[in-house]
Amino acid sequence: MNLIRIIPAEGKMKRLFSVPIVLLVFVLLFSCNNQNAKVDSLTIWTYDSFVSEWGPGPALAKLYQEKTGTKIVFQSKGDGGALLAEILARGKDAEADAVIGLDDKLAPRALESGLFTPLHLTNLKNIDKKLLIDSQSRLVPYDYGNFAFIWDSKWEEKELLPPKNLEQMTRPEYKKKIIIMDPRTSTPGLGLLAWTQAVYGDNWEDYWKRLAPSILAMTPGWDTGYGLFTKGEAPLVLSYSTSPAYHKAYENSERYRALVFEEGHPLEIELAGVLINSKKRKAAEGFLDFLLTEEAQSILPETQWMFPANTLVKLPDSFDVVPKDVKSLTAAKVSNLQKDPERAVDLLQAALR
Amino acid sequence: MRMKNAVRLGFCAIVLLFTLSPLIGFFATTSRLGGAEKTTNDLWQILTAPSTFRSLSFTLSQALVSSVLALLVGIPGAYLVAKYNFPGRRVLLALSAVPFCLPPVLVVLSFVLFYGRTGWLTKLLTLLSQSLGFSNLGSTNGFLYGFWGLVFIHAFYNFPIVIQNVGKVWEQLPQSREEAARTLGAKRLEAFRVGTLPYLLPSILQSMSLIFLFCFFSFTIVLVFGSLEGSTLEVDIYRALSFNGDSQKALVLAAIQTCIALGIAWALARFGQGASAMMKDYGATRPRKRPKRFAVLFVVLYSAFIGVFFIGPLLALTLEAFTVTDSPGGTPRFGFENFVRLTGRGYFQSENLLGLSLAHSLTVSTIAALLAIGIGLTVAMAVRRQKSSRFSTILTTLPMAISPVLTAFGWAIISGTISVTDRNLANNAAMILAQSTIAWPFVAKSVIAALDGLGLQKYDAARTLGASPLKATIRVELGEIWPSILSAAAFAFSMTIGDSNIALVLGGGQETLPVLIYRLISSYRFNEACAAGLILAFLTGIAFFFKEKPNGTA
Repeated sequence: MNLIRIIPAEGKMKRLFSVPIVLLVFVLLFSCNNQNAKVDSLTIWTYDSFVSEWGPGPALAKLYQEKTGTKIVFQSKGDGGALLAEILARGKDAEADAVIGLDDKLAPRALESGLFTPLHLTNLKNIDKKLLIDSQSRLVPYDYGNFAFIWDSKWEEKELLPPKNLEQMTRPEYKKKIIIMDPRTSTPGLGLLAWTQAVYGDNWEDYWKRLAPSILAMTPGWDTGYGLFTKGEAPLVLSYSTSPAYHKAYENSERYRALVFEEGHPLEIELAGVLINSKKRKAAEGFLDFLLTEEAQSILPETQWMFPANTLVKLPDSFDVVPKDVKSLTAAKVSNLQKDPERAVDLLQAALR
Repeated sequence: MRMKNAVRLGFCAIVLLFTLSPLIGFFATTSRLGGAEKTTNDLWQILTAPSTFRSLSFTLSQALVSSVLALLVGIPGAYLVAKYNFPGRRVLLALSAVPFCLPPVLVVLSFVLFYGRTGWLTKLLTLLSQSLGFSNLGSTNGFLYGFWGLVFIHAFYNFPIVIQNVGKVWEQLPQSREEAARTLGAKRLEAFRVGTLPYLLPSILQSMSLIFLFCFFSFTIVLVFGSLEGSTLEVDIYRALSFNGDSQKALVLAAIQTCIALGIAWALARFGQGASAMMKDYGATRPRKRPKRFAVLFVVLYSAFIGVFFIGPLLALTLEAFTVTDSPGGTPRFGFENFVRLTGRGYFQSENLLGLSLAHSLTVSTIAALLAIGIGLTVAMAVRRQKSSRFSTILTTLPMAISPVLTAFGWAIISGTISVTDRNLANNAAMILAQSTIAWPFVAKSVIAALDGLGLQKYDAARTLGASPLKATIRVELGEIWPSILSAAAFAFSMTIGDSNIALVLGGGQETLPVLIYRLISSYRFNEACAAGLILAFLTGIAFFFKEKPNGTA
């Protein structure tokens, strides 16, 4: 553009390629942020939706800074799976003090790494006991939910009725009617895998083969899948039993219902922890203790759309539409985290080929 | 003169190193990460695993089918554009900016809106069948989420490249050969086969290999629509690195991918040379006729076809941006609320998301585009007037063989090692470098083509009058090709601001506009996503407003 005219014609070739270099320096100066200049701040790695405008991150950070003066710097690493991958890849060099957003499926791999330090949190006494998965409290629960399929009741006008259990979803009337998430890249995907393994035991592979024709799309993450669902692409989507609360709160709609299956629903427990190599371990521990207080926990239901881990928190009215009779399959877990997700996808792809 | 050549070669080597550095960084780090336990045996096992073979065959077959389909859609358009003057001709040509500038995120969004189960096409079909009294002409019934859906989207995303590239050659193709064949008694089709097809073939193959390359690297679209069918190598590399921490697998897949892409890029360069060599002898553009009788019908049918199937989704995107539903199930109405909400004055937001991401996008893309222009321009001037054009072709084609995902990971690794103290800074630098790595070859190609078209007379005249080579170049030549540089700049800007893959792969940091759109889709705010998308489409559409299309694309 005007670039050319600025360059003095007598200049040497060198001047020409000094332009990119000058620009680069300009970039580096320009994009420099001074967040790190502050000493009393904590860096917390988390996933996208926690820090998004619609997540709890901004409100929690503001509240905590008002209370303690400590600034919370959230860094998003995509989603839960990508978050763990980055922690494991960077190991002891990870520049985070704490991590929020692992879950019970990913926990074994996270704990195995030895990167998390045991915590002593006073507010742990008010936490629902069924959520405590680590006796050393290296990873502590802050919210939870039950995986469930969400039903778009608009399809009942087309005389399609919702399935009552996992098995019914393999029926021909649900052909290409279900949106699930990829178990290789998403926690709901892993949740479905754990679910089928808990219900079908060693025969889970057969179930995935039978389920294949019913699946319309398998999206990389929950977000895309749920987006396609609300756009009317399918009557069924893999999500959480708490999802209808969102539609109640923001759209005052009860069109989308969580289906209660007779065989029970696996739990999704979201976890936080402090990295063992952090220089601010104590301060980070303090923030996680804050995260478990009644005050902080009451922010979670209508931002995370999950149940708060603290039993003292009163649920908002929107949660009235969440079914109460959901039976938790507490023991459901993926038997082989390395191989089974890949295997499940292979089965789907082979069945559709 | 020898000294000058050394400077030139040295400079080109630097650019090449710059372009290849993410790849080098990636291969160096990942091969080191595996540590002691890694043996050639392991790598061999990954290479020969059935899943590797499946990914490879899926990648190649979807790219092949997509590019053939794109040719089928594009060639009739190329013919019309070359032979006739009709309203909408310029629009057809201008569409060629779409595959380069419209981010895949928006393509996914607009195709779901249009072809989805409750999409516009289904509504249209239902309406049509009702008014015609048929039981039901059917719905699109989820066809998007399979192999055919995937190649369909790829084909409709990329076919404008064919119109642009083949149309341009066809337009200049002398009719004499075909007429001679006709005089000698050949039938119409035979005359076309002998007199026209051989001369069009290089440009057809060039378009096809370019589309093949794009589909070969397809990422976002495959991630959303193809996961039940298989995944491309690009998606597998991303998955291996981002989710499984399996750097060995990523390494093997990246090696396979790069080798094949080099082959395709080489073919692309060969066909491109063939096409431009063919064009040199043709002289002026043939005059175009106004369509008559059958031709009118042909033009109308083709325009309607493109209008429904290609413009339709884009139109759906636009309309959706202005659609406001006050209550669920309520009647949608026209309004600007989606835009207002994005600026933070909506019902439950406080931050001006649109403003913030727009400012960030503009800053990053402007710098990346300027960097790309700087590099592209200097490369163009350094390689011009070489006896063989092979060197410049290799230099400008090679970068296209490097996958965007690898480029992003590579720059992230490099910037991570240099500036570990400030992740945000490292992230921005990586994004700028990665985007400019991908954009500069297009600038260089377009400027080289413009300089070639200029000839040497003016330059020589300036030299004779005592101007130094540099002065002659800058004052005389660059002044002449000013419009081309401007359009290349607009194109580079469109490419960088529309990029979503690099930003998504890098993750973290401040939001760019395409990432905001992705997040809006993620939090099921489709209408607001469309509103943001419309703004992005407007920005990337800047390239539309410049008459000259960069020749690198053509």
